[in-house]
Amino acid sequence: MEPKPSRMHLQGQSAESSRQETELQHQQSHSSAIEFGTVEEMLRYDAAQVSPPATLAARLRDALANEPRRRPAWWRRWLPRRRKE
Amino acid sequence: MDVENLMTKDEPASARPLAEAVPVRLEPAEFADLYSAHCSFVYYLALRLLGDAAQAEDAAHEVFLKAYRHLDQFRFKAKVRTWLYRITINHCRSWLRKWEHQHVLTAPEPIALETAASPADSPLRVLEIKELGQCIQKTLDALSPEYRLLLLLAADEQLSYAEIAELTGQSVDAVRGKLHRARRAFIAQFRRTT
Repeated sequence: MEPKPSRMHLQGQSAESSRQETELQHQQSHSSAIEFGTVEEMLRYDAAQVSPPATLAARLRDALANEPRRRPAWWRRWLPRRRKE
Repeated sequence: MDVENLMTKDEPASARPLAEAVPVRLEPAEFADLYSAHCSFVYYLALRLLGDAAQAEDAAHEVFLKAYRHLDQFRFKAKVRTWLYRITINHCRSWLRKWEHQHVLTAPEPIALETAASPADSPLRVLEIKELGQCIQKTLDALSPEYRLLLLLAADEQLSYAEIAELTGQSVDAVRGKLHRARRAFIAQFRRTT
């Protein structure tokens, strides 16, 4: 696999005022600057912020519960099962 | 979907990490492991291709359902991630074709974006993190579907350029060239968006 560029620079902006800690945290969370060296870095960062909805797993579990029990092909029943290594 | 086509064009088995191998038959618990390992990547690809969280959830649901139904046809020639991406791409393309058939869309202008004057080598600086996702979505939406897909696949560090070439049906050199132009187009559009 070819290496792809991966470099992230995080730059935090220091708060100038000496307000309460909660306000400082709020300000940092909304105005901290992030620099991305490449588009791919930005997309990876974005992907890390996105989580699949919790309902997805539940929907899939319900759907799979209604799936007919899968049976392996007749010829596969005669083959030894592959193992993860 | 042409399931056969999904499973015949991938790289040699020798290039496949053993940890990615899928047993002939998965028990529910094993399929849950597969889901856990790849769900976020499948969902993110669908989200950014479709631009809608609800549609992305439906797409991811369909992808894993199809994967479950056709696991016995998986030929161990591809990484699971690549296989799932292929199903995702086909599903999203199909959905977008239907959507575009029902709606009139104005085509983006990728050439104008590629040649737009922008310091492509300078880092992308983002101030409002909370709006980053929206900016990225707007930027991707303005790109051609091909550039959008290439960038999203290239962002996955588990995919090699060869695998991206397989998934997009072109040569590795073509992928390199188009990715270069796609990055420039993204940066130019991103600066307009933010």
